[in-house]
Amino acid sequence: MKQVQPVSEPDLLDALRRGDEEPLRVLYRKHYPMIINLVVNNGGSLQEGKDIHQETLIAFYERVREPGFRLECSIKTFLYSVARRLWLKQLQRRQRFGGTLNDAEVYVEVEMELVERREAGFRAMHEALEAMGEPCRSILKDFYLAERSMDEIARKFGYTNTDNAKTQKYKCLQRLKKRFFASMPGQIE
Amino acid sequence: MRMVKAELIERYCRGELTPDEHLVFVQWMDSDPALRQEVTEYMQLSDVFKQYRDRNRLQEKLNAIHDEMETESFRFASQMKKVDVVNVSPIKRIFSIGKNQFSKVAAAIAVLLVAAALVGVGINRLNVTRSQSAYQELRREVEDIKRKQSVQTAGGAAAAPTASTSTYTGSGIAIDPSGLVLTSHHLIAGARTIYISNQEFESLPMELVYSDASLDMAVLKVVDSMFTGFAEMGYGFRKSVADPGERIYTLGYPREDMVYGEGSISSYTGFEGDSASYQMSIPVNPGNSGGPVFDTQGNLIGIVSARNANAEGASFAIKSAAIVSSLNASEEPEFRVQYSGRLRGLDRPAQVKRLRRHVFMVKVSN
Repeated sequence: MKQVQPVSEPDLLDALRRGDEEPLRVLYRKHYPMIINLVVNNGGSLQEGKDIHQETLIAFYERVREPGFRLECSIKTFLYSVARRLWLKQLQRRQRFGGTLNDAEVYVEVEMELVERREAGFRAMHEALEAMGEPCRSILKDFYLAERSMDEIARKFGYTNTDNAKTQKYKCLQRLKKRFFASMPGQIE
Repeated sequence: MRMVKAELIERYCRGELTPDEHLVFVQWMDSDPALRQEVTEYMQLSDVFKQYRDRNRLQEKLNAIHDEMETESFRFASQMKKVDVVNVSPIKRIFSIGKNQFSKVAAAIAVLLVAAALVGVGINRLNVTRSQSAYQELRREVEDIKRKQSVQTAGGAAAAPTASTSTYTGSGIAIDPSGLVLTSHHLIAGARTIYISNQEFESLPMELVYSDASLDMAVLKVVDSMFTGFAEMGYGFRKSVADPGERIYTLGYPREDMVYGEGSISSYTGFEGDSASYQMSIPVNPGNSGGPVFDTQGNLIGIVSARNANAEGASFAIKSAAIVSSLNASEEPEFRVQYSGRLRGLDRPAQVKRLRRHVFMVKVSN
């Protein structure tokens, strides 16, 4: 197994800002118990704890990479605070929130607006895509997510030529756009 | 021409227009606010696509980190089991009553609890008592069957079995070409002689080189001086955990010929929540014990251990991650664990054809 040298927090943040994702491994392992603990002690399962932990790290990674972001507390406190907020939100959404959370750590108020907006965009996209019929869903996923070429897509879906596949793709995109913006009011600036 | 417009927008946003086209397009945009709006929307959508891609990729990475961590915690658990059995159980006891009475001692105990959750494998296993009547191990008692057959075919006139020993059979899978075969502990427990056979090898004498009773696994080694090794394996252990719903198949010897069975993973945990095994929905019978369970790509995800006699279609398999960590933690046998192999592209019959050379009937007399 690779030995992980202890790294100072500023170094770790710098690495993440550069797009180096290796520190995520260290953070994942180090703080997993803390987050699992938070969720399990507040009405969640291990699986839900795992999901919250992953969402937290993704949110953290995205925040750190925002220009001008400065961490005002320790990474640990920040992660706990983000996880706490995410879990609280989920409990409220499912109306399972009993009024107080059992906290085992100190936490700070975290600015989550951007993360939540991004999450909303992510969800809207996911729902719009999944609501599409075939072949639209697959064509769009292949082209815009898997980044396959139109030639390849035309072959896969049995179009006689690439232009026909392109025409179909734009029709699909138009439909996706409608669905996506319909479920994201206020996002169009 | 709507489609041409859509294509132009896309190519503009991706910076794929020629300089001439670009000029014309920009002018067009200046004079047509509706087009400008469409371009803005395309940009937004394209941003979200990119986020979606990044997000999925990151999620996959985190899942890989998680699987790796889980695999290591198996190893940790099996080491711990050996060293410190006594101290483990009280933690478990606190865990089961403590969920709601936490806040006071929380900070200190919490960490321990999570450690307990993490190493749950070892702990759960210690508490699994296999004697419950619902838990039915799947070795096959051969004499018993022989007797019944003789009664059926020869009306009792056939010579009654004279041997006073009992013979059991189960299944096993090669895990190293040098002659190592993985099987169930309960099958070989107390064995005086062990032989394996399949279509290729008529009868190979084996000795026990490693067994882990708590995990119900054992490793045998060929001790025949004429033996030169198994054919190249082509398959290996799967590192990641299999998920409920995954299609799986088994190969084993519930009778004299190898039998294929297929089904799916139905739970991350086995009998009474045992976290070192899966529950499967797959037909298994006495004789299947120790037989391999493969995923659709021909990776070994576990070995069959038992079935629930009280529940229809509930059988159990020890997870490959638990097996690997138990092997890694032991000194014997010394060999390199082989991970996922080269069967992924093959269809099922082709996989089985390759695998059958490495699946054995394990015969035990005691």
